[in-house]
Amino acid sequence: MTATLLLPTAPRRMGPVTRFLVLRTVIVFLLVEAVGSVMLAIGGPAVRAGGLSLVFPGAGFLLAGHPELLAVTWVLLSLALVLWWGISAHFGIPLVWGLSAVGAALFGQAHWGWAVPVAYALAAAAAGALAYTFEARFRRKRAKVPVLNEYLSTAALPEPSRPLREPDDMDAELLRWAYELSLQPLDRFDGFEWGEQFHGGTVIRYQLNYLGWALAPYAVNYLPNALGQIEPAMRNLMHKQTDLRVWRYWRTLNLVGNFAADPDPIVRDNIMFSGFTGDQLNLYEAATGSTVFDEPGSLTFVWEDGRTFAYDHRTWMDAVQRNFERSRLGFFPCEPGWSFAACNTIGGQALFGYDRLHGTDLWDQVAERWRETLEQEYLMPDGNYANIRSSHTGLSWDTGETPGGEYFTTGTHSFRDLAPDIAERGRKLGLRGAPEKLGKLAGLVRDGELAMELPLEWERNRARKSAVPGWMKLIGGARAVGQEELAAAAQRACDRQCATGQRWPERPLEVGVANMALYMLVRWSTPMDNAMLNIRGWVPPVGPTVDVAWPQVLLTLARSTDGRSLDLAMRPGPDPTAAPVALRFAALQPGARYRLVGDGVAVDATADADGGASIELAVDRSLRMALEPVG
Amino acid sequence: MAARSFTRRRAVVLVASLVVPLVLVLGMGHRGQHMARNLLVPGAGLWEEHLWVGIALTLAAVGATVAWVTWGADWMVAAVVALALAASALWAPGAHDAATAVGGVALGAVRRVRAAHEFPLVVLVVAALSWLKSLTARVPLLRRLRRRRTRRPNPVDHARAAAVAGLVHGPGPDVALLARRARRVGAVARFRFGGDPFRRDHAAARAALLLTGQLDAESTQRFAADAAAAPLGVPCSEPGWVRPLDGTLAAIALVRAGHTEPATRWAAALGHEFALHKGKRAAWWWAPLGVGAGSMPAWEHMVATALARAEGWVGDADWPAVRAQALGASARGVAHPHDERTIAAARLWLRFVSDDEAARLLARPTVAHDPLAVALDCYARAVPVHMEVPAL
Repeated sequence: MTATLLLPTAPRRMGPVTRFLVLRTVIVFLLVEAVGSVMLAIGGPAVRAGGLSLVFPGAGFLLAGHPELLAVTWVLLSLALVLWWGISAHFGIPLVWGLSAVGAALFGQAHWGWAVPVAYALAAAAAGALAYTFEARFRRKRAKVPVLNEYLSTAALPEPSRPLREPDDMDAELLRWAYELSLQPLDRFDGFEWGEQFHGGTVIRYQLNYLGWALAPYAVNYLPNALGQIEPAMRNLMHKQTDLRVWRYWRTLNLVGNFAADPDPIVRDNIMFSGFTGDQLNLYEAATGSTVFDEPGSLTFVWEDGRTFAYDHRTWMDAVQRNFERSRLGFFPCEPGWSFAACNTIGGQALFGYDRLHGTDLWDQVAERWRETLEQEYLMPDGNYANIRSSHTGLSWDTGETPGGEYFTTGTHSFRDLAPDIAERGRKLGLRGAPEKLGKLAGLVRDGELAMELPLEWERNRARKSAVPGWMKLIGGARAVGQEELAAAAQRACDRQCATGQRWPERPLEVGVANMALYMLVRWSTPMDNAMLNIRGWVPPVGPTVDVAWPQVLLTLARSTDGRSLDLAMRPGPDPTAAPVALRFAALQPGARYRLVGDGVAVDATADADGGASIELAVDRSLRMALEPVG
Repeated sequence: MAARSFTRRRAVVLVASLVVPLVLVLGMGHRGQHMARNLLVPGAGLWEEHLWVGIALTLAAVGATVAWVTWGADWMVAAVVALALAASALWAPGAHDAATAVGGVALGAVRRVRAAHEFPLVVLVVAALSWLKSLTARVPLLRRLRRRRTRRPNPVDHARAAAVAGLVHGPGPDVALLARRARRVGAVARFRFGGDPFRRDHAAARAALLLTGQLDAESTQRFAADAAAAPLGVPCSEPGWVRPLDGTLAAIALVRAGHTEPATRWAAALGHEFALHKGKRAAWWWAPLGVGAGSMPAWEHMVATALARAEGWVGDADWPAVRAQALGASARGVAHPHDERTIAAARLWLRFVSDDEAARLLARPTVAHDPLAVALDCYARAVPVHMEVPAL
C-alpha cells in the first residue's frame, strides 16, 4: 500500500502568485493612504476633506460635519462588495471610495477636527482586523498539522461500497422524469427552475450539468446494453446548454467584469460553464460512445444579433486549455476575477476526460501547473482548499457556498482522476470520524429499514426546504465508508420521506431540480461513478443489446453480467400502449436460440445471421426479465 | 416598373410644394407666412395666436397621418392641412409689430418656412415614424414592451396567415373579420359604403380568400382586373399603399388561379421598386406618386422574400442579407411573433439555399404560436429541400 500524502509540516502563508497579488493590493492600499495623508497635510479645507476620505472611505464627510454621508458611503460600499462578488463589478469599491473623496471635497469646510484621528484609527483597525483574522486562522490550522499527519499516516479507512443495484420503483420514476425533462423540444425548458442566471441555485446551466452527470452513471451501470433511450436524453441536455437563455448571463458578466463586449461564453474565463459542460461532454461520450459532438460546429452558440460562436468537443477543450495556460494564478476565473478551486478542478476533469477519449495530451500540458496552483496557492495548512480566490487581489473569503469556504476535496470526482494521492489524503481528512458516527447510525437499521426522518433544510436557491440534501450526504457518506446496508436503508427512507407521487413537469421528490439531479447522481453512481468513468472512457457493451420505443416503454435495466445473457427491466412509459411493442435485440450469436423469460413472459426467438432478433411484447406492467441463450 | 406618368406627377407635386409656400409668403404677407407654417406642421400657423386650436390641428394631423399610413386615408392629411390653412387665413394677424414679434425666433421660423416643401416633409415624417418603429425593436425595454402578444386577432396578420395556410390547404380565414376591416377601411379611406367590401385593394385579404377557395368567380375576375390595372401588377393593401408581403401573396394567389401576368409584373417590381439595396427592401410604395421608401422589418423581409423565392420571383441574394437576422431570431426563440415568423420563413428559405449551419440552428425552435409562422412552417415542410426554382 502506498503511503498517504502528508500535509506540509512548514506550510507557507500563501503561494507565490497569491503573495504577489496580495502584496500588490497592499501597496495600492498604502499608496491611497499616503496620497490621502499628503492631501490632509498640505491641502486647504476641501482637499483635506477629500484626503481624509481616501484615508478611510467617507471619513471626509465626518470632517465636514456630515456623518449621514459617511453612513451612505458605507451602505454604498456594502452594495459594491455584493456586486463585486455577484457580477464581478471590481470597479465598485474603488469607485465608491473615490466618489466619497470627491464628495467630501465638495463639502469642503472642516467642522469636526476629531474626525482625523478617528479616520486613521478606523483604517488601522480595519487593516489590523483583516491581518489578524488571516494570521489567527493560519496559525490555528498550522497547529493541527502534526495531529493530522499522524492520523493520515496511521488511519485505515474502510473501502467504499460499490453494489450492483437493481433499479427500483423510485429509480424508474426518477429516470422517467429525467427523460421527459431532457427529451422535450430543445427550446422548451418545462420543469426546470428559472431564476437569476449568474450565481444562484436557479441557474439552468448547472441543472443541465447535474442531469447530464446523473444520467452518465445510469447509462453505464444500468443500461450499458440499451443506449437508445438514454443517449438522446443526454445529447439533448448538451444541446440545451447552447440555448441563449442558458448562457446569455455571460455577456453581462464579461462586460462588467472584463469590460469586454464579446458574448462568446467559451473563449475567456467562465470556467463554471466551459469546464462543467466540458466535463458533461466527456461523460456523455464515455457513457454512450457517441462522437456526435466531434462534428465541427456541433455546439454552436448564437447571439441575439445572429453572430455565431461555433465549437465542437475539441475546440471547446482547446479553449479551456488556453484559459488555463494564460492564467497568471494557474486557475482561471469563473465570473471575471474570481477563480474557484471547484470549477478549476472540474475544468481539469474535462481536459483529462477528453484525453482519455481521444488520446490527446491537453491535460498533460497543464497538469503540473494545475497541481502547483492547487497545492501552493489554494491549500491551507490543515489540508482544506480555499473555495475562491480573487485573481485581482489574491484575497479569499467564505462565500457561504461551502462550510467555512473550504473543502478537503472538490470537483465532482474529488481529485480521484486528476491527483489520486491528493484524493486519498482528502478522503481521509474528510471522513475523519465518519465511520464511527455512521456506525452508530447503522445500529438504527432494523430489517433493512431506517425508521427516521431528516430535518428539512433550505436549498441553495431558497425556493424550498427539503430533506433530500441531508439524505444525500448520509447515503454518500455511508457508501464512502462501506456501510452499504445503511446507505440502502437511507435511500429507502429518503424515498419514503420525500416522494411526491408526481411526474414531469412536476417533480417526483420534494426537492429542486438541481438537488434532485445530484440525488440521482449519488443514487446511481455504483458500482461505477463518474470519476471511474472519466478514467475508463468509452467501452463498448459486451453481450446482447436491446432497443425499444420511447415513450411507449421505459427501459430501466439492460445489462449483461456474463456477456451471453441480458438482464432486462421495463415498464410502460409516459405514452403507454396496449399493443405489443418490438424489443429489437442485436449482438446475439448468429443463428442461436434465445428465450426471454420472467414475470410471466416466456418467448423464444432465433437470432438472424447478423445477430439480430425482434420480439413483440405487450409492456402493460413492470417487467423484470432475462434474455438467455437456449441450449 | 412604374409608368412614366409618375415622373410627371412627382414633378408637379415638387413644383407645387415649392411654389405654394412661396406664393403664400410672398403674396399674402404676414398672414401668408402663418399659413405657410401649416404646410410644415399643420396647426403651427396658429400656435402664436390661437394656441389650443393650433395644437388641436397638430394632433389631428398626427392622427390623420396614422390613418393615412395604416388605412390609406390620404384625404385626411390633405383635409387637416387645408383646415389649418383656412384657419390661419381667417385668424392669423395681417401683420406683426416688429417690436412685439418674438425676435429672432419668429424670424427664424419665417426663414424656415420659406424653405419648406410639404410633401417631401410628409414623406420624411412617414419614414421617420417607420424608423422609430424599427428602432423600438432594438432598444431593450421598448423591445420587451413590443414583444407582448396581443390577444385580439389582427385582421391583416390573420389574412396573411390564412393566405399562406391556403398554400398548403390549411384552414380558411374568418371572412367576417376580414370583411369588417375591409368595410371600415373602404369607408374611412375612400367613402365606399355598401357592396362588396373587397371590390378594391385589400391584397392580403383577397389573396387569403382566393387561396382558400372562398372567392367566387366574379370576385376573382375583379381581383385580377384590379391587379391588371394596378401599376405594380398587384392590388394595394390599403388604398394607395402597396406592401411587399401582401403584394407577394396577391400575386401568388392570382398565379394559382391561372393569371400569370401579375407574377411577371410583381417579379419586376421586386427587382425595381422593391429592389434589394444594401441588404434592405422598401417597406411600402405609395401608388399615387409611385414613391417607395422605408425598409421592411426583418420578419417581413424574410417572409415576403421567402414566398417570392419559392415562386422564383427573386434570386438567392436576399438570404445573406437576412441570414443574421434569422439566426438571431433562432437564438431569441419564439417568444415574439416576429421572431417566430422570421424562423419559419427562414426555414422556407432553406429549401432553396444550402446553409447547413443555419439549417441546424433554425431547426431548434418550436414554431407553434403565431398563426402566420405556423402556416409558413407548414408550407416550408411541404416544399422539397433545395427545390429547383430558377429565379425569373
